[in-house]
Amino acid sequence: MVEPILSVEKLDVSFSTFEGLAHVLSKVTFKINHKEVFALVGETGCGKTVTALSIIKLLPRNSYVQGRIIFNGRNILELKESDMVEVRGKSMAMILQDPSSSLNPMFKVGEQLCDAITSNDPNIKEPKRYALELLSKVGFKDTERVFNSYPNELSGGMQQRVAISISLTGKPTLLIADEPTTALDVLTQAQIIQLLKQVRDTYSTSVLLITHNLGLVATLCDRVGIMYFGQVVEIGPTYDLFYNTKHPYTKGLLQSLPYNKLKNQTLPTIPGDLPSPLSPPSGCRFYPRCPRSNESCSKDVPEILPITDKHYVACFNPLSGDE
Amino acid sequence: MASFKTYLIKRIILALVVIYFVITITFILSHVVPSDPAELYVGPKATAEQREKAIKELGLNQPIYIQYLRYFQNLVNGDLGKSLRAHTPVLHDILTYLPATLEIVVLANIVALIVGVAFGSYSALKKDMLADHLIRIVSVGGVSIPSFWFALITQLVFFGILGIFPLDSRLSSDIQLFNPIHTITGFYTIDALITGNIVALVDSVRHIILPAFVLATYPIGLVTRMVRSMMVEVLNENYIRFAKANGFKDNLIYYKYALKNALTPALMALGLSFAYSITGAFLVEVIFSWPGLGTYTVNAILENDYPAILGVTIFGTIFYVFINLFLDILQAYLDPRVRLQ
Repeated sequence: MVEPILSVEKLDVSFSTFEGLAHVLSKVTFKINHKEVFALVGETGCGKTVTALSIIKLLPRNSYVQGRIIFNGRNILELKESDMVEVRGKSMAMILQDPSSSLNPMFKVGEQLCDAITSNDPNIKEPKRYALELLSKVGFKDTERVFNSYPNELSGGMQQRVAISISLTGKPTLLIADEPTTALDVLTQAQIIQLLKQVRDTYSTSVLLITHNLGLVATLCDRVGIMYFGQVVEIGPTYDLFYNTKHPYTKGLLQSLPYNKLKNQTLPTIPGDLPSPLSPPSGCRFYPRCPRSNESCSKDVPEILPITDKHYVACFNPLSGDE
Repeated sequence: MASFKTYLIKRIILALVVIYFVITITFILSHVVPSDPAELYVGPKATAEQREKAIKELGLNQPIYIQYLRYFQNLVNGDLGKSLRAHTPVLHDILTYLPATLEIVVLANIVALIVGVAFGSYSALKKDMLADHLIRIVSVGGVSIPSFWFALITQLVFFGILGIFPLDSRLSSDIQLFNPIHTITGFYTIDALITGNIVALVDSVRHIILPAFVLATYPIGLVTRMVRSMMVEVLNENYIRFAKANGFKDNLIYYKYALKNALTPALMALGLSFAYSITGAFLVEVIFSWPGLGTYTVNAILENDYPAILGVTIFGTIFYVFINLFLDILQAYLDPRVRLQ
């Protein structure tokens, strides 16, 4: 079996806050294979971005991290900052949610791109030529003009393309895309998704896509992990996960999609609110809101276990196929 | 670009309006103050005849609006009137006293810029560590220590106890006698350098250090605090996280990408403190017997020398307004967001 590019094992992250320790991630476990697009899906505040920042080691200083993150055979969490500098941008890169704030407003696009190029590969003799080449790869026709523009002279979609071109300067093997289309309109979203697909194919890059857009997941991703409140509750191939849902939370999430709504019928929601990370519920974190919970759910934490060959679920009472 | 031009034109018009009102207000104020300019002009022992003559010479026998208009007319021709006490043209006085002030103020602000930026950015990078706390204490001290007190203390320490720097004035008297500086620019250090007068150069540098240091304490504190807080803010920006995540070199991130963003407001603050010190440095000037514009202004106020007060006020206003204008242009040059709005 081929080794996965990235393997996150039992990742715990907590933050010390004024009100106490906030347990944000609990035993997050998943893998990303070579040339795969893997999506982490979950509602706002469930720990998707924290997971991404743990992988690229840019969490704020008040964080405590436990577990293992194996990337290209090395445990990221044991690397020193000086070694991490050699990983970021070179074999792992990241694009952020809001393209308008990803680029420094004080410097021209070209200058930022060239600085990224010289930072990530000092051997490149003509950074400008490489920069123009990258800009045309992410779909710009008028590369010279974009090169000489300031970020705020470009539209959101163009800014995100530039950000993607910067993330590609070191030809990374893993690209983390943290809600790359959330701030964009639907048409631009489609273009960015198309671009990410193209990047995956031309650079053989694996992509960790963080999103709450299930439509995006369906069009782009090979496998999906569903996160709820700091835990990965279900992982499976996209089709399986959509049509053979095992976890009650995933089911609730899919049911609350607007296109399921029939005429004059209210949109189904998951009852209850998110608990506080300062005092997470014991046992399964979803049990207080779960329609299928029983006694054992409040006592033990369900581990994420395979239900079929590729489909994993962390639940004591998973749904069976026909429900 | 066109919108920036209109913005600039608006700013210039606004500056002219400000200058006009300052001139008018200072003119009115100087004429409602209960004093007799003619008597000041001729001195206490003058005859009534001499006094009459002075009234005519100063135009005081004319209605106030004529005096006002004439004042403007003269102003346009670069004539700020004559000092009541010394009977010398005010503009000439200002230009004589200005270089002494500019010399310490420019030096103090250059020092403040270098030290402030270095301290401020270092402090931000070491946020919440020991170095940061020390720098913050020093910078709060810098902005809050009264300059006259600090000036006296430096005199006590560096002249009184250590004896390494002279007490006051721009040049020692023996140097002035035997190695006089040939005035070209009015900046003693520069003049001594140009004329190759090494003895005087060393002496003038030794004289300038203490007053410039005292004058620099406030802007050092100001710039340090400004750069630190801006830098801390900028380092939390998404584009810094993005640059880090995509492998930009640390030096590039801190000293290019973050510092340029943090520098602009610090430069603005420094510019204002610079313009303020032109006449606001008088406490330091008086203590160090520094023959600068501040000393000149204070003397003019004490002696009710209204053409001199008016002259300095107008000069100061114009200076301030143009520094501001310059800062706006500088900001637009540094920050494309301002330029492209």
